[in-house]
Amino acid sequence: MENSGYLALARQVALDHALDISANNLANLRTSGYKAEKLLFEQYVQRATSPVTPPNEMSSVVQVGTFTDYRPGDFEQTGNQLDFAIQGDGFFAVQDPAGTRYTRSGNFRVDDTGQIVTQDGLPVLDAGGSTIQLPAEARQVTVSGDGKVSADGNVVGEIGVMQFTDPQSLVREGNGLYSSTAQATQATDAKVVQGMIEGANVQPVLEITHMMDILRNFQAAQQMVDSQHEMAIDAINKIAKV
Amino acid sequence: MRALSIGATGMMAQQLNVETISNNIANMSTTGYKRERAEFQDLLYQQERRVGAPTSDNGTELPSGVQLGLGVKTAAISRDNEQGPLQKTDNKLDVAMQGPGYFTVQLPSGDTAYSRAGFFQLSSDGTIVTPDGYPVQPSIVVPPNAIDVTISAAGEVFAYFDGQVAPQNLGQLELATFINNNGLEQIGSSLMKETTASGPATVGVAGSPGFGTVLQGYLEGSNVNVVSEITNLIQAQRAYEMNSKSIDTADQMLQTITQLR
Repeated sequence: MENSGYLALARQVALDHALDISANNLANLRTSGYKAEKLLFEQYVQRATSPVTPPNEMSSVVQVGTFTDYRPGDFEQTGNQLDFAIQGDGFFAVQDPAGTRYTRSGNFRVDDTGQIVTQDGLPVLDAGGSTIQLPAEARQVTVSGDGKVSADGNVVGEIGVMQFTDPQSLVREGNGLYSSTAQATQATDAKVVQGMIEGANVQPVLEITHMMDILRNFQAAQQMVDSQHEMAIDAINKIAKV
Repeated sequence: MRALSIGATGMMAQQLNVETISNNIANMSTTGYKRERAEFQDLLYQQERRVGAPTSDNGTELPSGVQLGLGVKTAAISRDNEQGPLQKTDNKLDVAMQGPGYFTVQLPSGDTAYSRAGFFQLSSDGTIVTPDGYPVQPSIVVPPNAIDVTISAAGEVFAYFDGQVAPQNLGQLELATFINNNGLEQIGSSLMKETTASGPATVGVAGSPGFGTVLQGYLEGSNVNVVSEITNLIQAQRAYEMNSKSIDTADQMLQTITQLR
């Protein structure tokens, strides 16, 4: 295959990935605490093998990475006393069997022992890494902006809000969880809001237009393959006549 | 072309969302009904280039990796146990729960079920039963010659008789609370059953610590807020359409590929 064929192929593979990411963002349009994923492309410049002067350079596309858009999502009032949203930068810490995980999705519940847990039953942790236990007879649970949990007026624990110096280093694990090898510190400018959940920060208009763009680019790359193919056929025919 | 299956997970999730919302709207005037909400989570991620992976021997590492999400899944359908509005009915055997607590009902199987719907009636032998005829616990029998029945805030049932000044105490309604109300299993007919997730029932009487009080002549209405359900329905429908759009785009891209010579 000619170089142009490879270039078009690289473009199409990259666009296929871009579509997957847009589709995933749209699939999670109503997932609480979901943060949109974006794709980064980079030109990959390669010197063509033929030793011509000036050097003949090709630039092919490679995906260097995805990054997470940590802008806040819309807050939705639920009235549930165990629904929480974080205003500002920060994550809730939860205890996964594999270690501490972080999440923005604060739709918590209590389990059969009175611990505050996530929808998957993972215990929510305070800043020091301990779980939060509600007394069995607790009727009114209130949580202040700094995360202090009170049951009927008595402080019983604190919901930890943690932050990272580089949130882009977090690895997405699914189920709304993120893991990190870096050490989290207690967030300084984040506030816990009770009775609200943070919606996904996906911007549907952007994603839909992005998808149209992807489709047209994909078709354009296809055109390139087609015309290159025609050129090849043409060349064969013409050379055969000589 | 993962976008096809990713879009499909999104459409399935939104379909379930619409189903949950329509069930809420259908039960907007069901006594003791608690609204439900579908909770979603992102599916697994494919780590194509892992973030933080070393890129040289000098300790440089990838500042961001390539993480491809594979769609969405339903995590739970949770119940919002907010108190419903109290509706006056003036029926002697209609009782509303104010605050935490469930009425206990004995099922024909012998199991105990729990309910917030306090629309009780009398059976042929005078026992207080649910509209399905299941006896309310403990079994309270109203004598046929009773001229009036009152139920106190503590759930005590009194009967009045002709020529008798003092009412007769027939028994006290038994209530149950759970540490995790959301863990109860719905079995239809406004009844719920205990599960391991709900924790064991704490049995008590109305007005004691941790229990609400009982109000005679009222029913607890459904806590469904129709306005918010309708806006949720609109959002769910749009989300559904957008996911179909990503399937459509993937389809067109596949079509482009099949035209390849």
